Amino acid sequence: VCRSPRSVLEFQVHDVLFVLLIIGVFVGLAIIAKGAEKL
Amino acid sequence: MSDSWAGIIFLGTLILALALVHKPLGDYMARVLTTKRHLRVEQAVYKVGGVDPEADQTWGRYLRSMLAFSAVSVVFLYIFLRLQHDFGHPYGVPQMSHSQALNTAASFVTNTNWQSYSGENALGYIVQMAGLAVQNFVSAAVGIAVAIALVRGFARKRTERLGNFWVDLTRISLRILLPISIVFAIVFVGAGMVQNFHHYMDVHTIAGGTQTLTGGPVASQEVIKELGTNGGGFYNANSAHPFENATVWTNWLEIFLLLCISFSLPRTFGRLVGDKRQGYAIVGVMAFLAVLSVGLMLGFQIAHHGTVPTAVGGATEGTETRFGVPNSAVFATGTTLTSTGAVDSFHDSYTSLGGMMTLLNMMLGEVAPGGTGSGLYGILILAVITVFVAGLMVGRTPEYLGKKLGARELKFASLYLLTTPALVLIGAAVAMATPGQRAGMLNTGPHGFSEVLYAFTSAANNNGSAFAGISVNTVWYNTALGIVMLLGRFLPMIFVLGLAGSLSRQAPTPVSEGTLPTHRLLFVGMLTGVTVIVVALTYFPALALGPLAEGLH
Repeated sequence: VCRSPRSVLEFQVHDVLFVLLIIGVFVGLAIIAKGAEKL
Repeated sequence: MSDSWAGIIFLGTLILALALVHKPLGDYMARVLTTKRHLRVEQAVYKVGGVDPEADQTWGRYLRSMLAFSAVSVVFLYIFLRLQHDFGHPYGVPQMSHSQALNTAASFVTNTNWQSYSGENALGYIVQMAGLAVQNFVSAAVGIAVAIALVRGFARKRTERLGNFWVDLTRISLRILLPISIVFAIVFVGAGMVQNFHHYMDVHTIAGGTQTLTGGPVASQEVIKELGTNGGGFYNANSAHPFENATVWTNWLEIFLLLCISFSLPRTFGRLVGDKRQGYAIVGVMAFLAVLSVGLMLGFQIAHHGTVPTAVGGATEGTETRFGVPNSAVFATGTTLTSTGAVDSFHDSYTSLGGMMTLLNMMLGEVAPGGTGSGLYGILILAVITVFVAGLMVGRTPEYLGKKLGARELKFASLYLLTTPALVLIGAAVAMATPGQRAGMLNTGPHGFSEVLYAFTSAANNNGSAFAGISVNTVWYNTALGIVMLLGRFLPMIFVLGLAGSLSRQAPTPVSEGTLPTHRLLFVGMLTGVTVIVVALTYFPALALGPLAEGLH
């Protein structure tokens, strides 16, 4: 499948955003875990 | 033989088989999780992974290992799903959208297996086998590992160490899940389930039309789908598809597989804490709630209350004719009482009160018997709450299995209990409050609300079954439900491991006159009561707006 440069760029930007979202959720969980240690 | 007798035999033999495996399987799991000996293959895994199998971890380290493993799994699976179109049909199929890949990756890593796609169209054989099936094994193993860490918290004294996450994960996968899966995959192939890498075939039907038949490595994935309480179907029709559930007796076997580990883990618990009676008390509560739920579900479905079921003489809509109403009701109960989410009939088509039972089963927190591992730690948290409440009522010392339940322990237990309802109710409320998301409902009124409530209940409890009747393959639903699945899985695990760490540090408290006996029938009744009352108080208003309103209309 041939993609225009614009669609390739969109592909990458969206994927980076979704991977960052996944990492963000886990970073949030790690912060909560750190807080739980102080309970 | 009449349908009623067939249903009684189906259910009776199922209960008997679960009772028969409870002891040997529970004892075997206890041995696997306590032995000092490492198999050669395990030693190779530890060497490759740089793991010291003799190094026990604190609860914080155990938790960080589990979170790191899960985070890498989600990212890997996301990338895998996005790249699958490069493998060539039928090994790979056209690319999944970003939001659907996020949703699917979160879904399989969290043991939910919510599917906003149809498997035969959206996934190729490679990602099914090397992506989703792998997660079916390891996500189930993660659940059991966390449960065992909590059990060690009760069993160990004056230590910060709860075991080694990597050792638990490896042993559970290789010694428990894999051998059972291999044996039953062969049985399923013998029963007629497909197991091949054939290209899709176009065949001419008797009616003169054409139909595309998909192949795939189905039988090998079907076992772990049930055994690991995963539930994600190879096909869109899930266990209603003849390639995925060939006969009535494979239907029985699938229900057995999805219940057997969770009903045996209380035995493992009893063995590890050194008092088998404690395990019997826990499995007693699980069994009582399960039998009650099956009875109510069968009653509602066979009575076929509602306009259409009454008109046609049975609640047959959405059921597979090979299985009939009673067996479908038993499957629906089993799949929602555990965190499986596989279906052999369509819950949206159930009678309003039958549909409510599927919701209620999940809302119970999936503790009867619950998902692999998650059911055991869920009910142990409820046992902690029960001991505390009993202590308040009768002036007993709040202690369970020789461990004092103080403010710190109760904070962890309370946070655990609040997390899932918050995710369910806030998620459903936001979806109902926004016109764009309401537009995804295919029904109006109470039934439409039930569909939205079911979606968030299923995601937050990591069940994965769908009520259907709602368009969830949108960016909003894929992302929102993906995040709810991640938080619904890992937030409770943080609190479970925190509680385990807090308990393991304590010195044992000797049994005294003030200690509540937790192996007697009185405690079984109290724990059952607390489980039901906590659910009733939390979810009753939402149920009243949905299935109860529909059922009483």
